Amino acid sequence: MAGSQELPAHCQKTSKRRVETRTVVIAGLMLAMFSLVGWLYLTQTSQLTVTGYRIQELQQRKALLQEENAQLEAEIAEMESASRLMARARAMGFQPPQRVTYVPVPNYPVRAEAASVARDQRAAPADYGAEASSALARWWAGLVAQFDAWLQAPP
Amino acid sequence: MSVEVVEADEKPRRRLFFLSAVVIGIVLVLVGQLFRWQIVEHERFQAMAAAEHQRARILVPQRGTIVDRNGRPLAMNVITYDVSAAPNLISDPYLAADRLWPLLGRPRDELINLLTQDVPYVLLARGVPMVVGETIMGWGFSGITVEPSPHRFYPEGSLAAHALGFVNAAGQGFYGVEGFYNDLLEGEEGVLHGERDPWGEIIPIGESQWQPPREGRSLVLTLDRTIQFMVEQELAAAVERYQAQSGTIIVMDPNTGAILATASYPTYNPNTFYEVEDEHLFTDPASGDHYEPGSVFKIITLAAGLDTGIITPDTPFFDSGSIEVGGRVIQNWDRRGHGNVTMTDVLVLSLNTGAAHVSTSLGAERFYAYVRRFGFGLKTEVELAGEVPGTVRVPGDPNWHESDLGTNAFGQGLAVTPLQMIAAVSAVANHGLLPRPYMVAQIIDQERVIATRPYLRQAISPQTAEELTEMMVAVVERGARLAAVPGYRIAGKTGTSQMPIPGGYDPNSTIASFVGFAPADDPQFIVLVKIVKPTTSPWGAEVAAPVFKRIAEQLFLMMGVPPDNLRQQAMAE
Repeated sequence: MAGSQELPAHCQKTSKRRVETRTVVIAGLMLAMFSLVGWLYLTQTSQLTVTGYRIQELQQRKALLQEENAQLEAEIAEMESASRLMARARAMGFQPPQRVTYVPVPNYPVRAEAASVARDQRAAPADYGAEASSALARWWAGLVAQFDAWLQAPP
Repeated sequence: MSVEVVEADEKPRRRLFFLSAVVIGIVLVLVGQLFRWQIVEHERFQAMAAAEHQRARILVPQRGTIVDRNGRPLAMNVITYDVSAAPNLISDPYLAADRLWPLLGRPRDELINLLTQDVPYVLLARGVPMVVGETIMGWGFSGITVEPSPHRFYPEGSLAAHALGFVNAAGQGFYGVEGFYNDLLEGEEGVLHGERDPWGEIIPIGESQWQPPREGRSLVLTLDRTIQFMVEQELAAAVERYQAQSGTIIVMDPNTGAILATASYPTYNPNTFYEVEDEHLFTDPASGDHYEPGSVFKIITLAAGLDTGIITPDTPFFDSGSIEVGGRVIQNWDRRGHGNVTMTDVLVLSLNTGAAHVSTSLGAERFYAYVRRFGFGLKTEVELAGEVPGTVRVPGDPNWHESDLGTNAFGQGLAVTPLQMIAAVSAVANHGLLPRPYMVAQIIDQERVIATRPYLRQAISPQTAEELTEMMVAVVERGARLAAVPGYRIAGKTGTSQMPIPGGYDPNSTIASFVGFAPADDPQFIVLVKIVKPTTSPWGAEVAAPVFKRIAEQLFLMMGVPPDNLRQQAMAE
């Protein structure tokens, strides 16, 4: 047995202890790692659940706000209804015009526009609707502006 | 000795056999049951199991809105609340009634009566506003339930009710565009499948499947709210002024067929459609009801005569006061003969004899070909639910008579809708091009906008349209002067028709009508006025023509159409 190199007994003891220590450390590290992963997973999941419920809550709030918004829009539309406006205007003393006078203004820029609109209408009668609509819109906007000016005028 | 041993061995073996058979039997039953659960009724049990922890939530789409051509809302959605109670769960019904009656607008005694009944459910109020519903919910009264429900709301009230229709409590649209485009407006339901928590809510991080709802498409109508309102006011005033039964007015753009206003009286409020007792009130008289048009139809007869070249505006005609067609003697409205007249005079004086002369000269085949060409007897295909095609008897029909050729020429013996009539006369205003009337200008599908393109087809030649326009101008200038608006050339025609009753015509009732367009040389609008059973005067020239005038005056202002001389001067420059 000249080739064999047996370690002395105290050395064997130290090596065994070193192995045990390493195992304990590895096991500890693994445990810590698993705990960390577990903690991270649980935290994430719980965070996700909380966020999920928060989203649900916010969605419900959004839906409620949308309902309230629709309600307000409906109220505005009702307040601006033609019958209400007419009643209010009459109560404030407005009346339909008794006589209308058209005053031709030479070289008034709108005339060129009107002439071009008329030409377009002939070229493409299908587009007339939009033009008539904008003319009406302009007329209405003008009327509302006059109404506003009258309201804001000092007594 | 040996026999006894054999007997002793047999007994346990039999018992064992019996026991084995019982066990095998039980196992077979269990296997059979397992087979049933796992294989045969697998899906049912899976569904039952899924129902324990799964939930499917239906996602209801929003119904599309309806706006006028300027974007003013005509139909929209709001949330209202239904308030109900379980009387047997209410501890103090008197206190509950005290708190509820001011908010629900019902008498206190009536509420006490409801809340003290021995029933499990009573409806206290339907469709209360959101603020009221939330206030009651806030009280937390036990036995009082407040449930939200989507509700269709028409902010303009009864405005354009016949054109809009209404939506019932189940969300189904009826009549008008609500009925015609119900499928488009209501959208498609979506669904959210997912795992649920103990409270029944879907777990946000659980497995889920989401199929979003398809929101309803919105509609932009050709109607103009301001014109519609004005027309409705004028119609209601006219029905009252002439003590009539009902009436209809349509305003259209003759160049495109876009309907700017359509009003009928009496009307209803679509917000409270359920209060209407007579369901006939829901039918739109403009497109869903027909009438004998009377002399307004002479426009069509003369258009056919001019277009085929058998007459010109100046073709002479001797009016003896009567004419016989198919064995029936046709007389003029004034029972008089007017001697030598022209075809323009036939229209101005509204001579039945002259119109019958033209139709018989044309012959049945050509006359009815023109009647069809103008769209009578066919639906206009306007986007309104409940449209009817009218009635035109033609040769070959079992109840057509030769005399019909004469009476149809002046609008008797056939039935048309007001919408057909105004569309037909629009062809005269529009160089002979007959427009298809339409009510929906755009369909908005989220980001996509589908615009309606006007559809026009040639009914008569431009020259015929021009000649007929001049003849119609003569009608207003020499005949129906009450329709004239100073400063504007207006083309029009009156009509007075009798109302058919079983066995003939009602001698005491008429339909007074007028159809006209302006300015005659460049028409911007066409208006049809129909007043049913006026009692102050039966004539279209005295009842419908003045209504046309009032409407035309306001339309000139609203549409910014200056008097002819100023407009022509501006155009020339």
